[in-house]
Amino acid sequence: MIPDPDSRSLLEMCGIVKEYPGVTALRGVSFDVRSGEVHCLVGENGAGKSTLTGILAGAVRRTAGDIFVEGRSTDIASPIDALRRGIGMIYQESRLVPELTVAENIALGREPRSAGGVLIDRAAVRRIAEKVLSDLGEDIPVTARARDLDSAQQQIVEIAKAFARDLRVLVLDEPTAALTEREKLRLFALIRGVQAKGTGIIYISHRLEEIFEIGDRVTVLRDGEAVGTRDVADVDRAALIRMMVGRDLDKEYPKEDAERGAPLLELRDLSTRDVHNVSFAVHAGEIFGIAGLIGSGKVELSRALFGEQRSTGGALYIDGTAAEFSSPADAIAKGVALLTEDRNALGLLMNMSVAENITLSSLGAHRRRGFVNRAMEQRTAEAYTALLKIKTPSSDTSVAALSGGNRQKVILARWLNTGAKVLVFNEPTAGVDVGAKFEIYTHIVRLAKEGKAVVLLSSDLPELLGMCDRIGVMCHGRMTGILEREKATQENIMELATPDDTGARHGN
Amino acid sequence: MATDTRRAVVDLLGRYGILLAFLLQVLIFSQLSPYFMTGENLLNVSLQASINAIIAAGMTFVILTAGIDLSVGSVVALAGIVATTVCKVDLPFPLNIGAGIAAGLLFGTLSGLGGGLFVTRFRITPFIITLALMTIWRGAAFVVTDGRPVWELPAEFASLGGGRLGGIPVPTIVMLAVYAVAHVVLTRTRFGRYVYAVGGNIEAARLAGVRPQRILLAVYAISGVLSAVSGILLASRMNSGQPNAGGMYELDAIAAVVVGGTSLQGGRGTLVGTFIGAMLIAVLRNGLNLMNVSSYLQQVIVGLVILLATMIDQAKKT
Amino acid sequence: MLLRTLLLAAVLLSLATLGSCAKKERAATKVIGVSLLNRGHIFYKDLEEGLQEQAKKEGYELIVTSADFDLGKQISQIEDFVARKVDAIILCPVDSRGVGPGVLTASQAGIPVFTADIAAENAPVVCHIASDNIAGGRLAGEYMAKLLNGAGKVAIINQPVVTSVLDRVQGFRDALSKFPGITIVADVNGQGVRDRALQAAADVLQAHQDLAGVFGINDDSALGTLDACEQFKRDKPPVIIGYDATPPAADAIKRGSALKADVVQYPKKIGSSTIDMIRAHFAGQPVPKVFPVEVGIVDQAKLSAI
Repeated sequence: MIPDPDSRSLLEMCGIVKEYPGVTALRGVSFDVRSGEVHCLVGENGAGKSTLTGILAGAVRRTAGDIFVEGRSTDIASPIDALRRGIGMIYQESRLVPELTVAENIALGREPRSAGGVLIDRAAVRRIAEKVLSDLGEDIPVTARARDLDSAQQQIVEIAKAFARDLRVLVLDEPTAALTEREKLRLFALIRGVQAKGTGIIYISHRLEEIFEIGDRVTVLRDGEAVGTRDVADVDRAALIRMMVGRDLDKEYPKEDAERGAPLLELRDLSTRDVHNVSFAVHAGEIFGIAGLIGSGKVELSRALFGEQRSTGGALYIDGTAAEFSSPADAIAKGVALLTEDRNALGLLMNMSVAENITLSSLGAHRRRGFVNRAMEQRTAEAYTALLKIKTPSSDTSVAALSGGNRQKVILARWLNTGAKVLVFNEPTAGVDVGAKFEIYTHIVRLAKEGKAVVLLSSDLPELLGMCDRIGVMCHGRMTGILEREKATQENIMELATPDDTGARHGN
Repeated sequence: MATDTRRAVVDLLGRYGILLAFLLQVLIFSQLSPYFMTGENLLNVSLQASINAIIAAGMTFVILTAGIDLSVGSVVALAGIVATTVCKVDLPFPLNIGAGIAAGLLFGTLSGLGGGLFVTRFRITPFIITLALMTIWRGAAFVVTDGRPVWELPAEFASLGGGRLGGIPVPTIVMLAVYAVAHVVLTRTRFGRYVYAVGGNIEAARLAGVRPQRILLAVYAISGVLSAVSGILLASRMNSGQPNAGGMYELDAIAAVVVGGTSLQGGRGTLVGTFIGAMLIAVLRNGLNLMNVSSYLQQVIVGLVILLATMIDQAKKT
Repeated sequence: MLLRTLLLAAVLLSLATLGSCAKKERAATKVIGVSLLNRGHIFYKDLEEGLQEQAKKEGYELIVTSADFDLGKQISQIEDFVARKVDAIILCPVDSRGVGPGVLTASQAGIPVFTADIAAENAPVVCHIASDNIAGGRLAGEYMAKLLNGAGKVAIINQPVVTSVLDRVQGFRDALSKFPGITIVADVNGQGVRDRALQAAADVLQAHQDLAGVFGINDDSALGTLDACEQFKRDKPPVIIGYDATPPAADAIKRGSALKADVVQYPKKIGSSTIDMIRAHFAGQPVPKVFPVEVGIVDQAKLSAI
């Protein structure tokens, strides 16, 4: 196939096919990026986005199809090959070397030499890094170690690293997943600057609102096919969702009111190393949201509820009785469940099957005469795969073979089966596609209606506003306010979440 | 359809590759040496494999948690010395042997618990702490015996490792019993499941309510006690407690575990695999000795077979 | 910065003091560095005992280390001896060729090197004190031929990485070559330790049901073979000849087991002769390049007589 000679495309992919044993991940996808545009790539998990970008990055070999870089047919054989052709990748998790400085990371693999090519010219390394960062309009100290940077700064360094290599195409894969609202705005400003220099940008995100903020064109992938490419100006959110899931979703948040019962979780002036004097109560049937920027103590609070941080003061009551947990095992025994923010690193056991993952926290109940009973496990697993509509070939399948949303459902099943009364969800929909998101919301609402107390920690404000009865806001390890559903807005949450200059805001 | 068949073949090879390699090896040796397939030689192989196989069973538990136990060879030596020394005390027959065995097993358990404690409480990597224990126990074996073997043992002691029950050598029976029990523990108990969980992802396991410290302590204790079982059987077969016994046994055991398909990263592997791995190595050594292959060449061949077996195992993961 | 300089000065000062102390002490007694092959074998325990007893008599101080079959370890032990300026070095080399550079270093530093039991090749050794291993192997071969009446299949439980063992096996093969009725059907590596020898011997017994004799290159090899024979309960087990006559082996010979005879070295004699050679060298007397220590063979009759 010959590309259109009039095309302004920096990069063009034509009829890309990728077959894995037994699965076809891409069925003839065509896609292009022009100079100076942000081309968004959206689709549910498993639609083929990561395979497509993997091919661009040289990490995955295509089965068929052609790639043209600036009109010339190209074969991208390895990640180094991709870089050499001016294609850079930014992933959601940092790939910087934590022990190296910002400058060393930027120069990694192409360090300028001195002393006849033997020693690294450290002054030149610093100069290059400073130049790239100032071109991007950023002022991160180049001698800082990568591990001391926050997530946003790490993203910026990643971008600088890509730019130090004369980049023509930049692929950003969920770059905002770990960023706060403010950090996101900073990243977007940076992207616009990069765009103005004529670089083509491929932007992948599950957060559709971001596409309308930053995108020029959008291509929707579904089941390994490109469903369509549109100018962002010509589509709306509902249309995009329709293209992605192939049907209409009547509403995004299936919130229903549930009958409010007794307080199942209560904190009275609870303090730990990172959390100070937090008080609130969550009743049966209630969904209590917790908002807060990164470093606000939000995650630490969820850990404190789960025996991960020793309390230094105050008290914790579960279902009316005082509780002191010294390990997650204790917390689970008392009916608390924590769905961690990182289901892959802190939730699932990738070496185990779906069934084994589901029963892990309730194995005691799956024993007969002291031995684990496989048939009982199987029944439990099948009941939950049916209830939560977990898409898996069988309950014996390795959980590693499942997509993000289905993995999250496996974790949910694990905790439901412990009979927990208090369920703490930490970023339950991060990296989950629209369809699966809706299902997870539905289950959260159903849990509340069944009389559970739900705590929902999220950095997605629309999600909190759409799902919660009340929202507590954390800042500097303190709860700076609790907002009723009717009174909560993005603005007043941000107001409470942002530290003011006097630093004198205390919970009152 | 064609790809389905190919996948099935690959799957089969991955799952049963080691078994196939083992059977192939048995077939080759039975063609090359007329002595190989005799009943007595097969019992001999099982007897020879038993010492390593019992250690490797314990090692499997440790490696499944992404750990390693380098102290096993030295525990073999010192457990043998402890058992032989204690059974020389002046007690009537069943008591003296019983006391010796109990003392040897106690030593193995304590050594394992000690190692486990350092891993869990002081966060020392298993490699380092068991390396230290390996050196300490080896040195201690020479110190307590002054470098000379413990001998002139009660006559009954030799029947532990040298005796037969129904024509089958005692160590072979012990090995089969160890594997039967350990297999059930690993596949059918909550503890066994937790071993896989801790090896798969210790943080995730902890957050799911597993208490990893207890699991780790237990796997090192298991490795210690099974090494002691081997050490006592070996001492009995040599009718003496040898301070230099068990040299490099840790490598034989690790080889059996890895050849048997258990991942050194933890979380994946089976005892059945380890058993076949131990048998494969024992059969190889036996077969090469039967054919009078030079000892220099034997080392090369054993190394190559370990490499080959591990590559077959890798094939299924890609 | 000042603190660091002070610290450094203090360390240097104390090192200097230590050094002068050591020098003062050495003026009084001769210090001899010893690097044994290993300390686990009874043979080396006895050799060490011979060294110690004789050194005590002469008033020498011994620094005894063990290389544990590790050449690298042995070389660094030699380097340590050179660094602390001992008056003489006694080696039981891990590897006859490999130890050469180490010996050279020592003799260039003016320290005389003596080898005991195992020789070093192409190295400036003052004197090598050892049993005549070829003669020992020959004795074993002749005794084997006598036991078998000149006919039968024989196996060797070998450890073919040690020169003294290679000599024993050569002597053994030499002696048997005069008896065409005897064939050596197997030569396997028992690694010189009882547990590995047991396994190797078990395999040989399987392969050769009509095996008539086994030569174990040391007592651990012979006893490992005996363990294997007793566990397989052959009607007519092969006769075994060992080497060294350590107490467990002597005991097995005395009780009439399949272990019939042992070549006996006199490791204590090797040890004491080594000190004798060193004394002669210190006194400026000429010493021979090789000092052979006698070997013998013992059987049930001879042992019972003692």
